[in-house]
Amino acid sequence: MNMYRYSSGQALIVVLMIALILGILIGAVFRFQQGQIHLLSRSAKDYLALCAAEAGVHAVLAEMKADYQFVTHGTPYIPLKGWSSPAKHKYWLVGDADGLQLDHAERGVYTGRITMKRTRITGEFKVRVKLAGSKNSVDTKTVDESHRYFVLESIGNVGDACRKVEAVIEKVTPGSFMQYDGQVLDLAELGPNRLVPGIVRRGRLYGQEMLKVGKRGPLDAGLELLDMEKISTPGYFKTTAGTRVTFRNGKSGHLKPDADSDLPEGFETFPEVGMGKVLTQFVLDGMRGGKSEKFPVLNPDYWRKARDPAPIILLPGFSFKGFGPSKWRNPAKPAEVVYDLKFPDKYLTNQAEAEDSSKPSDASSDDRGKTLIYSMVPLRIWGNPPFKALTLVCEKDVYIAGDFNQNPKNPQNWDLGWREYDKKLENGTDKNGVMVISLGRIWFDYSNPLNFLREELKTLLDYEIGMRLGGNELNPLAMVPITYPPRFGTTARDMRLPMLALNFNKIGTLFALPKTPPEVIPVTMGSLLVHPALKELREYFDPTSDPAAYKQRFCLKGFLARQKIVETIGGACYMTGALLPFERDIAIGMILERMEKEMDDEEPDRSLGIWNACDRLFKLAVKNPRTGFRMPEMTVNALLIDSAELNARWDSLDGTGKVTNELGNIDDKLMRCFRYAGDDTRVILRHHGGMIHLRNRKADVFLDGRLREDQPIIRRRSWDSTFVRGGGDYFPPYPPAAFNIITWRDETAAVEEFKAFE
Amino acid sequence: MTRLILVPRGRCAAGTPGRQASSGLHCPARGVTLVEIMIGFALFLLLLLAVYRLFFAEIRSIRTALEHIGVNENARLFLSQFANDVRNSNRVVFPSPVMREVVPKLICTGEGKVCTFEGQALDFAVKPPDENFLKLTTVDWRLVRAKDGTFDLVRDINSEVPTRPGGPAPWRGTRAVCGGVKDMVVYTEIRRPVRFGSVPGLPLKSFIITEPYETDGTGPYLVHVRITFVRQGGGSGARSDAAHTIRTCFALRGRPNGVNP
Repeated sequence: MNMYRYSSGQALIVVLMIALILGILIGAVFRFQQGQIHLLSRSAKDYLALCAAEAGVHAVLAEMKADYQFVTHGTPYIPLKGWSSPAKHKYWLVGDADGLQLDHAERGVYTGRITMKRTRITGEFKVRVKLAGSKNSVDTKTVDESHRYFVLESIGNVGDACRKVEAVIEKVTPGSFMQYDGQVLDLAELGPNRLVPGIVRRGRLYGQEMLKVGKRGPLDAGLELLDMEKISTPGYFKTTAGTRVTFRNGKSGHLKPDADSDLPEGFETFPEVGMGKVLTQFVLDGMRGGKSEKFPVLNPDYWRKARDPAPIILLPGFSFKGFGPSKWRNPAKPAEVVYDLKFPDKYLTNQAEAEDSSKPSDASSDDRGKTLIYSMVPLRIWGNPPFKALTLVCEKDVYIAGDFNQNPKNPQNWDLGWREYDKKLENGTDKNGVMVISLGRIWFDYSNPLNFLREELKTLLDYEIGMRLGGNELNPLAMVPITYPPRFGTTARDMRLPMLALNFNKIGTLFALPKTPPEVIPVTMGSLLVHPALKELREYFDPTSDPAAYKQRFCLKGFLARQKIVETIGGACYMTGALLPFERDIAIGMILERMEKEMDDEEPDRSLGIWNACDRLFKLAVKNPRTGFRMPEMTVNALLIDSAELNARWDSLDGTGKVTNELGNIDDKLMRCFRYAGDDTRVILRHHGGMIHLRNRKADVFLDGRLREDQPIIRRRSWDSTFVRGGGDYFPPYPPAAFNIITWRDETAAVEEFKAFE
Repeated sequence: MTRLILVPRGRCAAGTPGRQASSGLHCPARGVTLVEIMIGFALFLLLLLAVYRLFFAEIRSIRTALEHIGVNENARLFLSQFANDVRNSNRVVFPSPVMREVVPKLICTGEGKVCTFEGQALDFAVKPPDENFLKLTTVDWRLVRAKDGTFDLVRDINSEVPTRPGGPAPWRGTRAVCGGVKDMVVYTEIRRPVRFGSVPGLPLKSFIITEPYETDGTGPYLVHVRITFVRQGGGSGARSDAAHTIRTCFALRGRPNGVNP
């Protein structure tokens, strides 16, 4: 046997064994790496499933931002147990896009899919959302928790991987805010320097980029923020002057210049603590948890396509009683044709009364409770809408040109320094529920004082007519119960006394004129117009070129009208020896009617009595507080929401350089106005309701301040509860809203859950 | 005398080897010379050396690969868990935000707490302002020093929300997330506060007033993390060779809430 032959090949065996071991090792590594790849692939699919679920969340959020009543299950007003009752969908905002495909089911769950471009992997999602059914807190009056929170569930699926998201969506409504600005909320205010701080009462204050608290300047007493529920910004909080603030829980403090976002370590959030937990923080900036509550761009279709109630649509070229093209123009936009929408002067609480009043021709009587008006033309509005609840939506600018939604019988009850309106306004008695929404700007137009001083002028005219009938012997104190007794409430009866011959010697003179035989009466009546006893009264209405005399008169241009007014007053004096309140009211009504006609029909004329009445009225109101004499005041009771971006002169510091959307008290032919208030006169703008500047549409003109002359304007703002809850019949239909994610939880889900998700 | 006939090996002078033997002719004996043996042995040694080196190089590379896989696995565990916690949080309790300019100077965290997140759940069955309306879950991330000198990452959970309906609450839990961490830093950043000097006017507004943090994607709602992983299992002591450094950020989806909104 050849040993040599048997020993050959051993190396091969060794090599084979080594190769085997290496192979086993390599195989083990390969299998391990395969497992890793599988794991990573699973992680990637899991991640993609989350992306799909998130896409669904944001698609649904976009739908909610367009249709503020969007839910997939139940209704936005009644909480639902479980996920029954799929809701019918009205219309869609989000459409298919590159990589996004939506199914747009008729009702219920919102479904769709996303496709990754490079990998061509498709992820499907299903989303559902419903009202959470939270309970209301007794602490918060400006928010309605029961309709604030929505539960959203979204599930995404890629292959065998599923991911489920559960989020709580917070619904924010404009009615919660007293002042809101989508850019800078600057509370340093405008207007005259204040001797006592102005009051901003209740509600929430919000500025998206910045919230600034300060004064108008070193001579200004600034503001007091009372009964605040939240002062917040996701941006920057700036205090330039110490400002006293009280909160709804009774706590008070000061917002100090050294404790704002400039110096983060000193920032005071004013926390409300209960049982060791922070219940809320009253003042927040972006660093300390101030949430974004930015409202989305308004969707006009939401109102235009509304069904219950359907909108009354105001079109260009369309007119009816109370609505039509105006001679008035905005000097900043002289080419724009503005339409007057004049509601009745009288406050109508009774539906039958409303039927008789001016109304849109296509409005049925059934729609009087809740009404929606949609305008495609710029509107200039004033008066009292004869609806319990009105939402007025305008695609263009809205000009509030006078008292709006205010019972004229409502007395003023200002504290010292016109700080506080101490009588709470009641829906149905003092005002109705009105919301005005503009896709442009909402302006305050002070150009025509007759639109907002009408009630105040009645007392002034009554007083001045009485003074001209009283002669030199008249004791001014005797005028108090006759022309301006205290007025205690909206429903209180008229307590004015008649003007009698006893006190008013001119009345006595007229009453003494012969009445017998009866044939002499018409002759005497005819001669009253030239009777010396009525000389002062006649002159009171006569136009004059003498500036000194002009300031004491209420001039009317119409000769015949003046004669008729004098005849009415003189006739009553002659026949009865008394001028009863209702007779005076008739004469005053004639004066105001004539004044309105002369202002509307003729070219603007400085000699008209209205242009100097405001100064006299202010002085008498200051001299006789809490009487029938009322401060010159424009009263607006409505939630005002406009959209235009800040496009006006503004100063980051305290100063007089700020400009808001206000027009008037200037000499301007287009606005048909002249200055009617001097720098020492005050006119109050009392706005009851939120002032919301969304700032998410381009503004058309830049406001440099030349159209305002707002030195006399004192602004008083308070929050209105109508727009939260308890508004009942007075809750305006179709309020807009913002929706934001406030809590988030995502977790892995099973494919079966995805399939069963509906 | 035996003649040593030098013929080519394996061949007889007279013919084939078979015929050689049967014919009684002497064929030279078969064998290898010393030189041949030496050469063969040397070749064998070289082969063995190559195999040896190949084998152990492979072993080393497999070990390195395993260590890298471990690093990846740690990174994957960290990323998924950390991202999950941030996503589900409503606010970052710790660390406090820092100015953007300070970020390059931030030093890495040693052993101890790295960050704390707070998650909130609203219990709609409770009527606010009852404080139980808001239920909190806090998650602390801690670095714990391991025997090999690296750090292990640990999550401590303290939650008022039961894990299942009717489950115990509040509850606490601790879970190790991953190991092999060399260093880690977590931060949120804010902008330098605006100093209002004498900069007036609307045209300059955008320069002095910046977008809110939420809108510009920064601020306390964006959590930045820088973490370095090293390979584990390569012997005792800290490894200085960083295997994987992750610099990334995650956005909080929730927002801080109060019992009263």
